[in-house]
Amino acid sequence: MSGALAELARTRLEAVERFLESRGLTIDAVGEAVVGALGEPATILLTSSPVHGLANALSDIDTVCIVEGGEEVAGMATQLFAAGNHLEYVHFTRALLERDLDHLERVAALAPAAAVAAYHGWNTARTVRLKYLERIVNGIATDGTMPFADHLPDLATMWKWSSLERAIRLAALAIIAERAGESRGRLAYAANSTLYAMDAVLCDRDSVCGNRKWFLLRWDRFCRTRHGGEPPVAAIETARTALGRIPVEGAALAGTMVETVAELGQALGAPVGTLACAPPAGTRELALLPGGSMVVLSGGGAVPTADGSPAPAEASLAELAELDAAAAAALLRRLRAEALRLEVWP
Amino acid sequence: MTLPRPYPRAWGGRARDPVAVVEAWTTVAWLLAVEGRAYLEDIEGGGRQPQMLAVVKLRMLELLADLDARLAGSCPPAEDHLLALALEYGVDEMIRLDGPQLLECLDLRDGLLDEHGDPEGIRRLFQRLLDDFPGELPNPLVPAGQGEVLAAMQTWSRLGAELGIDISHLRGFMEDA
Repeated sequence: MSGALAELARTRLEAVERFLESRGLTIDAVGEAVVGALGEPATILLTSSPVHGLANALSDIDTVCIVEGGEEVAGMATQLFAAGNHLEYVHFTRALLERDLDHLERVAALAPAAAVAAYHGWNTARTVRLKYLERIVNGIATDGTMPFADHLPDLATMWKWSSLERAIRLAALAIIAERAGESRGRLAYAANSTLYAMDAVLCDRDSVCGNRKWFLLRWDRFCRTRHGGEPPVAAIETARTALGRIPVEGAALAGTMVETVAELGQALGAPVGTLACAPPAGTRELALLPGGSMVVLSGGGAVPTADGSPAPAEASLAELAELDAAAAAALLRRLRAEALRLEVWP
Repeated sequence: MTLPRPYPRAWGGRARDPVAVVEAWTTVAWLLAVEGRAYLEDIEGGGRQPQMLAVVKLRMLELLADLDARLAGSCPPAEDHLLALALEYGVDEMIRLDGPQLLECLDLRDGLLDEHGDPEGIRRLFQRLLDDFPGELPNPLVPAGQGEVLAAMQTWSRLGAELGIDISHLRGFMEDA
């Protein structure tokens, strides 16, 4: 483990100990309660918000148990009430976890688009779900170490590409919604785009915490303590300020979104170019009335829609910002129905 | 703002296809009991974390839009779109509130990422959805709630068996939780 990761483990251990003390617990007491309930020896990891120094008075005490041998199973989360506290534990066998950590290393080496596809397919293809993978790699063991911290850079890389892709896609949706004349919808997309932009930068600095509710608080701490002002931090803060200034019926935000994600992509090493827009295989549009179609989706389901002008097969964010209102509305309807999908890095 | 009565169609006695209704209502019951209550706990515990509360308020509107689509019998929209759809089109099935009314519930003064708004409006809305649900929702966040969750699962299995409906759709949600 590098010096930086060892320092991270020390900081996190202190945060966990402070949190547990506020609940009348110690790290050893949690370990003993969980091993007692599990009924076999295991490495007990303290995880989630206390590890990141984000816990509050009502935060859960979430643990993950890594057991050495036995049948290879990934257990369901189990709730435990001990000494007036609500604890959760879930267990995985080490062999099974190591297979998924090896896979994580391969995903982190992929190009951004392929890594994002692997991220989205992870929970169906792998045994240790993403939520637990993130908790395990960030987790503090009862001996005060971070036993899986060496995998943090790989985890951060995969998560960074996912959050960056989401920030760009949501920025595109904000622009399309604005062109379509949606006053409130555009702000919703822009707010979430800004949150994912923040998370992408945090992941780039090896801070991974997948729950979106913590993105803004983590970001503010990050900006205050160390890195304020450096690109793309300033651009994201500008977008956040702009969002605050734009009232529901107010000025255009497309320009701000285009500039922010362009600077973000550049700074993180995956520039934003032309986005592709294509229907998922098997999607059909059948005539309903003159000017109206029934869109039949590949996954089942159908939705009627007004035809509008044909969607562009590819467009940059700046070109999306030039769409006329009818074309933007037709595109937005189809994207929401999943009759079309946006690909950020085709 | 005075909230209208939740679940207008159900309380109005409008019957629909039983397979769709059972799947929708058991799913909504589960998500409201688990995720809805967890967000209420976030509001209660997050008094000193306004940045967390700002995002939780948006997440609660996203959950509301998701549940609303399920009760309406639609495929729930992708997560990217939930907040935009709630604010642009409002919700009908969980409770009838339009976009501006939902925005009012968020108590925003300075944009959607505003950290200064009061979470009381959205807290009151979700508490009303829990209180007015047809039946008592289990509470997995308290010690007695584990038994309540198991009892609800057993009841829903019997309900499914009685009507010849597979309720395995809940398994994925349980794993997520």
